[in-house]
Amino acid sequence: MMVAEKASAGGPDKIKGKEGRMAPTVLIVDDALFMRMMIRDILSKDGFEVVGEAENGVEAVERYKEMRPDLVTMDIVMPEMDGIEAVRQIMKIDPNAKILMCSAMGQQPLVVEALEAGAKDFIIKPFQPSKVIEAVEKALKS
Amino acid sequence: MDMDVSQYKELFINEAQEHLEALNQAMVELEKDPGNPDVLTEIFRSAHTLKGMSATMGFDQLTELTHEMENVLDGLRSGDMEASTEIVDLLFSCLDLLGSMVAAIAEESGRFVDSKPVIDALREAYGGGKSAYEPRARSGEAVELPKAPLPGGEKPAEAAPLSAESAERPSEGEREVRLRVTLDRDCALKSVRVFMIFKKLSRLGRITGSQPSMEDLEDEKFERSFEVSLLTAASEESLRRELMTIAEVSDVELLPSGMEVAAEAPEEKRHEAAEGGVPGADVGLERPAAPLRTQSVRVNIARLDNLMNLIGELVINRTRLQEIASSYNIPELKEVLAQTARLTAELQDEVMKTRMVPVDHIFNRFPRMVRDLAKSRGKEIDFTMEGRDIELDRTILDEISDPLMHLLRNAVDHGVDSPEEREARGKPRRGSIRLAARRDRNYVSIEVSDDGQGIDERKVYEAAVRLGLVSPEEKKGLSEEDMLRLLTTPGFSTAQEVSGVSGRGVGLDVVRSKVESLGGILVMQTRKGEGTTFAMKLPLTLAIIQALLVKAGGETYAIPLGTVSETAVVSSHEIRYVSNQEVIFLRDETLPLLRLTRCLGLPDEDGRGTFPVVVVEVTPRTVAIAVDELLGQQEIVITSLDKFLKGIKGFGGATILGTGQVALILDIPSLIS
Repeated sequence: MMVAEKASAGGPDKIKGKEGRMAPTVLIVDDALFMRMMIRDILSKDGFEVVGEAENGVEAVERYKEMRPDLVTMDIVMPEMDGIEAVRQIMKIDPNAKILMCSAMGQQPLVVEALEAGAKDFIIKPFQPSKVIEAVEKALKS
Repeated sequence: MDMDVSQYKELFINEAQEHLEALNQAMVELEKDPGNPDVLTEIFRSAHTLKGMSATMGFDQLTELTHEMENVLDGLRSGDMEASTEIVDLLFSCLDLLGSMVAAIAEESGRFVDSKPVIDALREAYGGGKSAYEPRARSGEAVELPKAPLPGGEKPAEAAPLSAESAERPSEGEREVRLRVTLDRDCALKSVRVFMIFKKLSRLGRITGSQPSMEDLEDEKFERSFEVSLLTAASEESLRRELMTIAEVSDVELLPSGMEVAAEAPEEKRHEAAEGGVPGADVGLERPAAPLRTQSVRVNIARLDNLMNLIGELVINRTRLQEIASSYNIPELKEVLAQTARLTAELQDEVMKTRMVPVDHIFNRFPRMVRDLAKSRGKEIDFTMEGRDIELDRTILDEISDPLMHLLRNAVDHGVDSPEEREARGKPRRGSIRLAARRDRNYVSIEVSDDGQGIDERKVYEAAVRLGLVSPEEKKGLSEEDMLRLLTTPGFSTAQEVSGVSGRGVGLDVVRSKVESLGGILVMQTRKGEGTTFAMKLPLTLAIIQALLVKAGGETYAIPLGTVSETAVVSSHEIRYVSNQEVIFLRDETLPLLRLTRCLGLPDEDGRGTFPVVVVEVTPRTVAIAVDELLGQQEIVITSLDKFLKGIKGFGGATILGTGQVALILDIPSLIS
């Protein structure tokens, strides 16, 4: 599941930057395989390169150190270490980290907490691909 | 834009079922240890994940139910509620309901599962004070926002006039700017968006007021847009750009505030932004190697089956080649074939391993089942499981799930005695049932034992006599083996209503035939007053087995090696008779002799001084089978007999030999019973 993968969908202009750079890299963090697959599909269809997945906060922090992705999508409720704590730890490692929280309905206080901890933005489950892409693109710009 | 989620359905079902199993297990834990915060957290987390997944798939009923369940769990976690028996039962029935909903989705039956009673009960349990779930709610409930975004501890600009003459005086370089921010039409959590916007703006300047008021914004009392005024030195364009980096902000307009506006929509590509990227990391250049841990792929079981079949074919061909090599005596070919044999064996081993699943896969649902059943029967039972990490072929595991359930149900129902009876017998009130898996050479043994009163031999005997299965003159003492045979006789189960043979017969015949159809055997041990153990001895895998090839009446037969304990050569004058049954003495043991030819209705090969026997052990019976010739040990691929031949007693399948000849595989348990 964690094999680095070249983004294949989407037009080449979308994948490569002006100077022929690679697509933005993304690390997906969620304890549900199902969710990871879905986010991965949404993102890779749009030309992002999913470079890794993690199923809990501890793994997320480790993966972040290893691969320094351009962006992280972070679930909030996870075993071992929750998403908010993972945001705190990642922000300590890299104050410029761009983390997007994935939240379910009814978690406003947690979302706010994550934003205070340094997360850039959030998306709400159930995911709508257009919203996910918008949030990712905006977070990369910020 | 909704997305097509149907492609994720299978994955969803798999994962949902895993979560439900985990939840069931954790709930059993919780019931034992109601205050345990770790268990509660785990339950909460699982339920929460399930909710998120269901919402994503658009399964509103599932989402609603998990949402209500979450509220109750939240109450338990915060200590507002107690994990009383009623609450635990309620949560269990909630899990059951979730299970049937997932099942209905899997079946695509469109079967309606009525969740209303449970939902009502859940709501009642937590007092309904919390939000009820609304499917695909536009926006969630408002949230108490931290006041951080507003200028230093001041009262929020509750009714601050939106005008240039605000209380705040612009300091040097600052000017007043008014913005109209518009959110997406379907923006979720508007209040959090407001929070993000204010947070961002407060870093760029001082917020002097808003329209509607801060309070109303927090309460989401606005449609799509609101106005903010602030004193700032930042350019309009940068304000706009900053706010546009927040998701679901669809537009930022600069309103005239004594200054004209000329902001242009910055056309940026995201890679430009990515450039601003992560310091110290060469973005996009250094791809980290694939991480080392937890690499796995989900593979459809049908694909593994197919792979196994192909390897089976390969093994057959290899055996044929070996045969050719030896009949033509080609040393080079033999050499290559020896290599090939090693490789195919390895290949087969690897594929087998991929098919192996820990028994926990099916075990983990049993604690819940035993608990429920014990409760409904008014019994107190400690249920323990051992060897949960023992692995078994996935196909076999799936097949034995029902038989195991049967055995456990029998153990609860009829094995363990009631607390009163137990006390009267001087035993502890709580009975115990043990489910244990053990690896034993090429077999896995799975045992279900209880510490009940054991099976009453006399009652079994009486019932058997009544049913005409044994004649009254026959020996009084029934061996365990006899009892098991009687108990697993189809139709014996009906006798129990009359005889009250503790209902042991229920479904036992089904259990036995299932186990035997898998190439395994069912064994029983019972001790009066101490308890009963049923054990299934199962092969590790189905498709390829080691077999002993024998010849009888001119035909070749295969005997699965798992049942063979030894071979010997016996001379005819060693045969003795015990009550009209031929027996032989092997070392100190008297073994019944079974002539394969006679068993199968083939002509005897007469006048032979000595003949080989294969000693087979199907616990607790050991029998010597007389054959004409021993051909040797070989790996064979089992091909099951089709439906016309399936019913024939004594045969478990067929295999193709190296010569291309077909040999029947003997089903030893049915042959010697």
